[in-house]
Amino acid sequence: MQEFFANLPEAIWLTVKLTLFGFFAGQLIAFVLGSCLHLTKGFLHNILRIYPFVFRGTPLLIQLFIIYYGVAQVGFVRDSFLWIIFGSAQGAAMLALTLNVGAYSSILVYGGLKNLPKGQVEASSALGIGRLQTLIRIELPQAYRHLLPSLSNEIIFTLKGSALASTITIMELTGLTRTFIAKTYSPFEYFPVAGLVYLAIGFVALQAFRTLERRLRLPGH
Amino acid sequence: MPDYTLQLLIGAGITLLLGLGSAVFALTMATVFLLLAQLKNRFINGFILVYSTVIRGIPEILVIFLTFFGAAVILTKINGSYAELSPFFAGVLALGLVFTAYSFEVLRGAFEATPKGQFEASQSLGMSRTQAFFHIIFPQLMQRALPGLSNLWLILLKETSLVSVIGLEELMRKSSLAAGVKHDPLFYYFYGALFYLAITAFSEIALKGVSDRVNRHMEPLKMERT
Repeated sequence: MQEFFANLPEAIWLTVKLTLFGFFAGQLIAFVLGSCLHLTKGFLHNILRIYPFVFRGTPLLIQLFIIYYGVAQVGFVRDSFLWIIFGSAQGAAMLALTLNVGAYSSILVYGGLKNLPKGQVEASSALGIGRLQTLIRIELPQAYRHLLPSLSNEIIFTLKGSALASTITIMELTGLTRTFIAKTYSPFEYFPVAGLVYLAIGFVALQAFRTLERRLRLPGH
Repeated sequence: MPDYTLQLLIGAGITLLLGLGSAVFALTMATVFLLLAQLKNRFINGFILVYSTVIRGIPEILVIFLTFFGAAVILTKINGSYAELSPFFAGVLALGLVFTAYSFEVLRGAFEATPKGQFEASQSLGMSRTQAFFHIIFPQLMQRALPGLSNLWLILLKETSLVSVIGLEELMRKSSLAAGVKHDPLFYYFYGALFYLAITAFSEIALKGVSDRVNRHMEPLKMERT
């Protein structure tokens, strides 16, 4: 038990690092792709939809294995700078999480933009505001305000997704717990500790989002 | 056909069985929870709240480990010598317990959105409580719950891949095994992913069919803007 607790801070830090990186990098993808999905129509729109379709239609675990075990097979990647990401378990886990979260959040952002009243775009164009300016100044701020609760769900999913990194040898919270359960065969000692830590991290994340929501709330809403 | 296609197909079958088993288990438990919640007992409601919050906040993979190793410890104690739950049943149990919480939230939302006055209205028209439930309340409950439950099914299908970590040879594990034997992880994980995509796409079509059938005599729901 002592050895477990000695390794715990390092494991918690890894979990937090994977979660925060995956979430924020994923939001970057979602911001760009969600906007592009909103602005495009027809053929180009359908092309852009392939990425979220594939990443939302397959398990995160298989995505992680393709990136970590599959891509390592390609000689070109092994010989290039890309190896910094694909060659390390942490890099692969971060990339997989990012792409997964990015796919789910893109659809959220796109949905948020699509649900805004159409009249606003027409009104802005009547005022001579360009399409891009309308998107950045008018549509996105409203969409994100509505999206905050969904995004707080998304960060919990990222936190739970980060546990899969344990399958590619990363000693984050789940990896550490699993190792000690396998070593001692006493699951009921280690599991509650890990569970509580996950709950605590999730609680902090949700509180952060709640604060953000309160700060960004418009007067009268 | 690439080698091991048949193995992957078998794996896909096990994935589907695992998903269906967990879904049936979860829906049954969630319905029981919903009925128990109607008793308005403080302890029962407190238990449901804690259960739902805790289990939705911890990673599924951890729940799967606890179920598998925990069951082994308990069964060994009872049995006297080493015994364990089969990975399949451990998987159904673990995913079932997790999705009980999610389905309960969906069902409760749908139940609360159905106006209570309709029960009274049905009774004033001479219907029994059972008739009112099955002819008036239940169809609306299904209409409201179906989008959420469909979503959960798609999530559950993908989460079944996690049961591969305790050695169940479902689609994910079969892809890993094939990748190892053929020294070609890139191809075999893509191939496995393709099977998952196919199952998901097929599910979406089937769920659309179910939703059309459930909604055939119903007016579309008026969604409140959130």
